[in-house]
Amino acid sequence: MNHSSIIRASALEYVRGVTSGEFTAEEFLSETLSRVGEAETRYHAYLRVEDSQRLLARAREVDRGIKSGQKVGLLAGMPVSIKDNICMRGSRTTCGSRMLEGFVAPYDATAVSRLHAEGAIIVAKANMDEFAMGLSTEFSAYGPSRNPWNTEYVPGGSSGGSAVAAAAFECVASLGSDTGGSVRNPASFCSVVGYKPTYGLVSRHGLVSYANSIEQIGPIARTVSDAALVLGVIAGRDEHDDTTADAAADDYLEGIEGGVEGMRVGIVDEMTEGADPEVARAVARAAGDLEAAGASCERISLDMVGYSVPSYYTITAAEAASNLARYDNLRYGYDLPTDGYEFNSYVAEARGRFGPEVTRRMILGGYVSSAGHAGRYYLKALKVRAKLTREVADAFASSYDILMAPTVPILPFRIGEKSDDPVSLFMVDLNTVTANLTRRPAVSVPYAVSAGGLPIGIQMMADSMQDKTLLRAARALERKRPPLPEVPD
Amino acid sequence: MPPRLITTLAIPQSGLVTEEEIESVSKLVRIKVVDHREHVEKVRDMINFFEMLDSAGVEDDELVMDDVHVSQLREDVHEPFGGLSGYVRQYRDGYVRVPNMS
Amino acid sequence: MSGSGRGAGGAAGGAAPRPVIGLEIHCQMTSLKSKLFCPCRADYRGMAPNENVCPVCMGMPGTLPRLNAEAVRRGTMIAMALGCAIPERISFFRKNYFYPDLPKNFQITQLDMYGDTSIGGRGSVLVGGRTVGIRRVQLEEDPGRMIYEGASVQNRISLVDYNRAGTPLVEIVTEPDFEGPRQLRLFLQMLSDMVGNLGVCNPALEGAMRADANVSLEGGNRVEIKNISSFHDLEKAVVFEIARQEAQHSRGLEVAQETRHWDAARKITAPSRLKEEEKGYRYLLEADIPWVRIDAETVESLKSRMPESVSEKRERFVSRHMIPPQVADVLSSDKMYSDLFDAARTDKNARELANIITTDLMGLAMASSAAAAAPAAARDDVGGDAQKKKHDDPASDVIRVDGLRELADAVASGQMARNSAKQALHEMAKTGKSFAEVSSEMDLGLISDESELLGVVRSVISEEPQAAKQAYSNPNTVNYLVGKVMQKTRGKADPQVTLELLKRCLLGD
Repeated sequence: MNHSSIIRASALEYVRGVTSGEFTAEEFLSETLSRVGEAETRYHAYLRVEDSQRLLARAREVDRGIKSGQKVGLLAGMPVSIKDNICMRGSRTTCGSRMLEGFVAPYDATAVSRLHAEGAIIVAKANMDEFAMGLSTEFSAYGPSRNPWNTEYVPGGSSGGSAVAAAAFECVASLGSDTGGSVRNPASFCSVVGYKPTYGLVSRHGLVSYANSIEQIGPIARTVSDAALVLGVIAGRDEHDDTTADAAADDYLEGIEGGVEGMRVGIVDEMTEGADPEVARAVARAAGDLEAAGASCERISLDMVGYSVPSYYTITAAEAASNLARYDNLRYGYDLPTDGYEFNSYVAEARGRFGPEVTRRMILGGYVSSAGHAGRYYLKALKVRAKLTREVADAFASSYDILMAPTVPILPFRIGEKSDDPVSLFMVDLNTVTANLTRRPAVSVPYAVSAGGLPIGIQMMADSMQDKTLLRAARALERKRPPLPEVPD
Repeated sequence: MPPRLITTLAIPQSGLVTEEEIESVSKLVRIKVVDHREHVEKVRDMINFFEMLDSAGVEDDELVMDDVHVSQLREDVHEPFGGLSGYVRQYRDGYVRVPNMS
Repeated sequence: MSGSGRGAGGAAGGAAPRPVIGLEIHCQMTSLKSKLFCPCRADYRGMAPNENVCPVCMGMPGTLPRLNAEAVRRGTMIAMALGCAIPERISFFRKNYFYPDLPKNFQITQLDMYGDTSIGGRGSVLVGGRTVGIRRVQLEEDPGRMIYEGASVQNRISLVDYNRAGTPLVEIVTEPDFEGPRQLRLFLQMLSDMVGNLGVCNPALEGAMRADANVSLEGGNRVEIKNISSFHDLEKAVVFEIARQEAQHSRGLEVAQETRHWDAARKITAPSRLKEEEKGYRYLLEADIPWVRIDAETVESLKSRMPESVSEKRERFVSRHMIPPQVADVLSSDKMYSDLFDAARTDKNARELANIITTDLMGLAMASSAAAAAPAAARDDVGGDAQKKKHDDPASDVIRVDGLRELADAVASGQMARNSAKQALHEMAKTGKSFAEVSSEMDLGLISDESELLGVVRSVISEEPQAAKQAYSNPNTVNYLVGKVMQKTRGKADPQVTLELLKRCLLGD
């Protein structure tokens, strides 16, 4: 591996290279930082890059540790980035919003402290749709990120910055958050792996809430094994999050090469039949690959999937209106003096800084959960979620190890193409929201590139806490798929 | 060619939601509606879309919730946080100043 | 009662319907160590502004509530004590409204929106011979505190101290089963005794127990009264509101369904402007807190942890310790004094001990401002290990268990007169001295020391030679000599010891 290409290393290659002395953590970081400087002029993956001198000092510390045989953690100075809705003590956390322009986090998210504990170096906060509401990163208050496969196109979202950064070698891996596909969608659009864990596997402490009942922090990386490595670092019970599963830390790489021999894979009709023809063909070929590897694939119909999107938007809007209510600019936030304002008018004025998409969803959430309408919308959406969960649980219990579909039924679209039509954008979420609503783990695996040069990802979903099975199947598909072209640069 | 999915899921607009309702909800969530089309009309379209939940046939369904045993919860121990003052906007003597209630 | 037939409308006429009153009581769980959802202090009193806060209770981005297990357990104990059904699972909801004292702009509370998942419900208690229904018991967080500065509304400055934000509350909602202030008073007394006895709350702390009332005349609209700062004011507010509604009724006017605020200065209830949200709060499931299972095993272990209830305790005092019912009433209703009683009692001293505590000690505590500190010091112990814990506070010497036991023993065995016991107690309280010291110094006790008495006995024998001689044959004469010894010692000679000494000296054995 020559000097200029070391930053293309996978996470596993990085760990092997740095611990064996093939390169130093400082060299790798310094190469990464110069790559960031050059790539950011085109992609805008990051909102803020941390102070490079301090980062390099940390890398040198890791190098000294390696030389002297000390413990340097599983990630051994690996440059990673995190979505800007994940808190890091003393660092700004804006959630891609002007509302939190001045907010400095007073504590570390659990995912961040666990990354640090394993020697990761967090180089930057990644761009995102404002408060994670969106699937194109166009709704960032700080300008959109661009798809490295074609900068005229969106990178997907809401963790668009994280996916771009991983795809364009601006870090080895990144943390995103997935409320309805926000890790998997941009991973699919940028041809990287995006992993949404079982709800409760990864602590949400320090993840700024959008729709807290369904979202999870998840890794975005260039290979399935890299995602598994990072997942192992951040997963496990956390006393700061009562919703975390009672699961000890685990090695998610263990058994990942086990293959899919004997696995039963269901291809979900409702998520496939209306898809773009190129996308649908990719799913068919992926099924063939898995069969060749010893799995059995068949079509399955899940009736409730048709109701998943309105249920998803109702629940997320209601929860968003509640979660974002705290941003009244009184205790922290940006500079807006209170003089001359009455309380309610001040809060309404201060909240004028929310962008239009967030504003709309809060109004929507207020409406669907209001005293007069909660029964018709919010409660009904919860019941749809319950019924969908039962349907999916039954499918796993009776017949399938894996449910498969395109991650997104359409190809990446141009910047500006859909941003004005919320209802049609809803449909982009169709295949991803079911995993969130049912709290199942799901992953997007890069599978092909369209004739027009745009990535296509395959989504796989497994039953609750079957994250290792899911990673094993994803790894099998990754191994079997036809070779992918390199990302253009 | 637009994917079929999007057209099949397009929902008839019943128009039951009034703009006045949306404006009053905006006040409840402390949002100033400046651009009427941007907010009120788009929200109405979205709510109309949600009406398809009516046909999901879930009236008799029960909610499914995760649970934990009381012994899994945090035990009652005091631990001061310390060091929050630099992150909170202070008026004087540690107080946070807020606009007067009408 | 309001006059009949004076009303203008046809609806009036006849005596006013009977009043119907329900209560919503908020009780702070002051005895817990941490807040409901974070490890800041539950008892915020005496701290500098915004000292008792963390990212969680300040509603900082990315924070999650961490439910306090002990709050769930103690809340369940209150629910059981109120005769409530305990649900298999409890859940939490968000009540969404904007207010400066609410850091998240929602309050985490409980609600029976999707099944009975509050910590307790459908209970009842007997108060003054009548049943009061308990609709619901729920856990919720208290908001912060607003402070206003400035002389006039124009230059007023609003400040917030969030030290109280997130502290644990138990809300108890009764059925509208009260008919008047007397019954309210009895209920609230019972309730504050109960929460004190359960070790949940020190009701003596300011603001630890607060109540809202809803008042209607039977068949009429319900009026909620808020902003009542004390139980004393509650009675006044309810009396005023009943009178107001009766006056409306007598004039044939309908009572409007509304929320009114108690104006303590003007001693009236006045209509309050409704916050927009109050017309219909938005409630959401609190998904950050999983539903909490309270299984049969947990319920059983909580039952075994539950201290004896006040009525059980009263029953025991009467039947086992033979304490008169009126004394048992007083003694059992106060946790600190009844704990003291149980610690200091023996089979023999119980009755006297109960008398000493309920008349002398309680009287002393009431009369003396210094001793007022004593109940507070002991109440800190309501967690259950009251007797094991050593008091650092010198005020608690007032009610030191050993001293009290010795005092009661002395009275019970006839060694000390009841009147002297009161003096001795005052002296012990004032000086902090032991019972032995006080009783000897104050010369309150009987002289039972043989060497001391022997001199007196000998001098009596030499002064009464006639009687001494007769005493050989006539036992009554011995009693005469005992009387003489008593005279000389102003009644303090121990009669038993004196008799023994006389016999020994006279008979020479």
